[in-house]
Amino acid sequence: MKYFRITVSLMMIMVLSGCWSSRELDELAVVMGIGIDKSGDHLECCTQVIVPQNVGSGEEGGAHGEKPYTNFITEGKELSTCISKVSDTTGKYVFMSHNLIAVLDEDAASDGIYKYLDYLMRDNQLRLSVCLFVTDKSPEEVFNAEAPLFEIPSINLSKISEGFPESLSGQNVTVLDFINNMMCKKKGSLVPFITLVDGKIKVCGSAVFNGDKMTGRLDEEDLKGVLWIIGDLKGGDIVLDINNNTLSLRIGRIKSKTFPVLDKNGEIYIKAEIRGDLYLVSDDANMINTIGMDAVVEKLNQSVEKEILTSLSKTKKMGVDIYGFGDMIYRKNPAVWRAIENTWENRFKEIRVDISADFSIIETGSIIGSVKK
Amino acid sequence: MDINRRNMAFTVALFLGGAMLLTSYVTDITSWEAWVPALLAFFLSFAVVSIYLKLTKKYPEKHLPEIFVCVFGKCAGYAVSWAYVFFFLVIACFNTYSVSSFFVGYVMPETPDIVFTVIFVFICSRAVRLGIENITKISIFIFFLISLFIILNFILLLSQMKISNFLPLFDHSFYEYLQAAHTELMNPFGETVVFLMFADKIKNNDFRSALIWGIIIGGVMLMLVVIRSVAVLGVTISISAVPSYEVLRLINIKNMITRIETLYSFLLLILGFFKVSIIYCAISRLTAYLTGLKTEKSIINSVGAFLACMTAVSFTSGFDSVNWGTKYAAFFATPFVFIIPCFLLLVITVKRKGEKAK
Amino acid sequence: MIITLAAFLYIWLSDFKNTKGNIKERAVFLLLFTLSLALAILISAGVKTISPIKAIQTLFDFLHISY
Repeated sequence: MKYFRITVSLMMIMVLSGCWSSRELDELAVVMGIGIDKSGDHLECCTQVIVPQNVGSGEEGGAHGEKPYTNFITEGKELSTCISKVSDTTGKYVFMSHNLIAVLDEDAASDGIYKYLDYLMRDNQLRLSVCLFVTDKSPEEVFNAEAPLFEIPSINLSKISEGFPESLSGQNVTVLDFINNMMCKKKGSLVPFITLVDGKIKVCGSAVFNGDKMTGRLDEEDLKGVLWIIGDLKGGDIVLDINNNTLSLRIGRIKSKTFPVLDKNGEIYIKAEIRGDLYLVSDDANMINTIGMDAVVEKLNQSVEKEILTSLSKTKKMGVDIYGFGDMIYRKNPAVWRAIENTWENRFKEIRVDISADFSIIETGSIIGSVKK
Repeated sequence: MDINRRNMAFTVALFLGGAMLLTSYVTDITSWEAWVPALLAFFLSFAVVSIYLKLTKKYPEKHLPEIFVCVFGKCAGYAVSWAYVFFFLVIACFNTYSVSSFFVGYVMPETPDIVFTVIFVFICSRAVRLGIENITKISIFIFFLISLFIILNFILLLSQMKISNFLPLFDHSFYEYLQAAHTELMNPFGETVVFLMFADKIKNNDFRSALIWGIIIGGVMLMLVVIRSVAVLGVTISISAVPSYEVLRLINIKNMITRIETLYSFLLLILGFFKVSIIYCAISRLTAYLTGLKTEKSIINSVGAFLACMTAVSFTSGFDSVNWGTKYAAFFATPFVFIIPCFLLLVITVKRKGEKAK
Repeated sequence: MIITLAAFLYIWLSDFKNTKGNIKERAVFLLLFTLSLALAILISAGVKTISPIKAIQTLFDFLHISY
């Protein structure tokens, strides 16, 4: 009896160790990126799959410098159909757990992306940290783009997305962030917009989403003004123009606080306070010594405020609350929000926003003046 | 006595921790305010547990069916006890299904539920055969392991937490708070009624302080998990099937510390094992007592087989179990967790007053 | 079905001999064993309509006791 029990226990261990659902590494098609291209009624899905034997290829590894990835183009009515067709082509189980990015073309974005996000959220393998992009090219072209420092374009794109907080060129938007925005009160989303220039990826602003549909675009200049308020900025470069001379500054630390305020007349307005510490990167005209640090800082504050106001007026015209002002009002004062909820689209276009930028240049670098007189 | 106070306290804490898999039944209702009904249920649980403690004070070192028989007489006492067998079976089924559906859904999607259920119940039966005393002996070690993990991932997720995810406060309707608090109170706090089955194995004073401390420790652990999930997921917590698992998937420290949710799945398994083993042990003991057996050892496997079969037919999908958990479970548990113990206490008080008057 | 019967064979072999000499224990064991075996055979045969939890749900819906 004892040996019977031991035998049964050992047999159970085999099952417990996951043999039933086990997949050997060579049976998996590891997906790194998904591209969705909508044409008419059906979808064209580009799935970037790793070719493990070509990863780290050089003289020693790989098959004579062959690409470490393959792109599979499949068609179908739904995203799930397209992805399952990849296993028909590869003969391998499509493993989505390592998927890093989802690239959507403009048609798919304009039509509404929630059905794709629903698939990405519902799948138990996929993570909510998948980064989103919109492109005016086909996802296939994006997945074949040159990636000089990373072997795989999907990894290149995910690194670009991760690097957005360090620059003023975009916002890292994951599936979780997008869904969060959709579930917030009338909040729009910004998704990085990419294009190809000479076969290389270029980030050019952001796509503006109202709900799950793309309704417009913001170019890089307009986007900067938006990012001052909503971006979780950790770095970035600013070029300041003073009397036809330029100074370059780098963001060291930024703290942006945006909150709704109820004034004496019972009208609600938004206050945005941006505080930051900047490093002086270049000042060949020696403006710091010429007009003084205070004047430079004053001009910097005015320049940033102007940038924000310009972006604000453009985004107000679009009628999409990408800043989340409505959601802020709801979180601070639900009763006030309920009174204005139905007219929020119009109110947003006219809402007063008080911006105050307060920067300081804390570091001027290894030189204290300029050689030029 | 066979169980010491410290072991019992940590066992109760781990029993409550088993609800980490089931927080979606509350987050589904109150979304980002899930911490409110959780806190409410935590405080109300002391009121419920005080009823059990009063019962144990009036009948020290007697377990639940013995108290029923003393108070209601043999017939009625046995009838109520059989009802409790059914209640314990249902909650054991529910918890077993939660564990097996989690593993089948997230870890081994092609394995049928029944395989997991059978193996899981088999493992629990091995533990139950060794007795509640031995189950409680490992509770301290397991508790510290789990607490360490929870604190660690709380720290790792600090950068992704936002205070604004808790706002606005008290924006749900009273009915929603009531539903969520009632659900949370009945499962898992109210399920601590199961420990009354082991009141004869521990000194009365130790049992009382162990139950209180266990609820405090377990309640704090649960609150930490709920608060962490809300702080990270915000409003999206309401559409998450297992919020604490989703939250752990987001941990990515320099691409080095990543994919630690697999570790969490093992801890969830251990917590589920603890909870189901304790309820399984209670069912076996209760059945043995009601059928006049000296020991439950010979019926443990049969009870386990029955439990596995019942789990297999109870729910067809995760949607069924969420439906049960959010809409019906609280009402089903209320008579067993609150009404019958209250009534029992009332009868005892009236009886004693009557005896004193005589 | 074979696995179900094998599992119950294991239960029989491990527990039946422990009930030797005690009629009550043997009776209880046989009752529980038969009950769970019958249920397991029905489930293996594909009959999954006997669900106490679904019965409770139906009763509660009838009595309008649910959220």
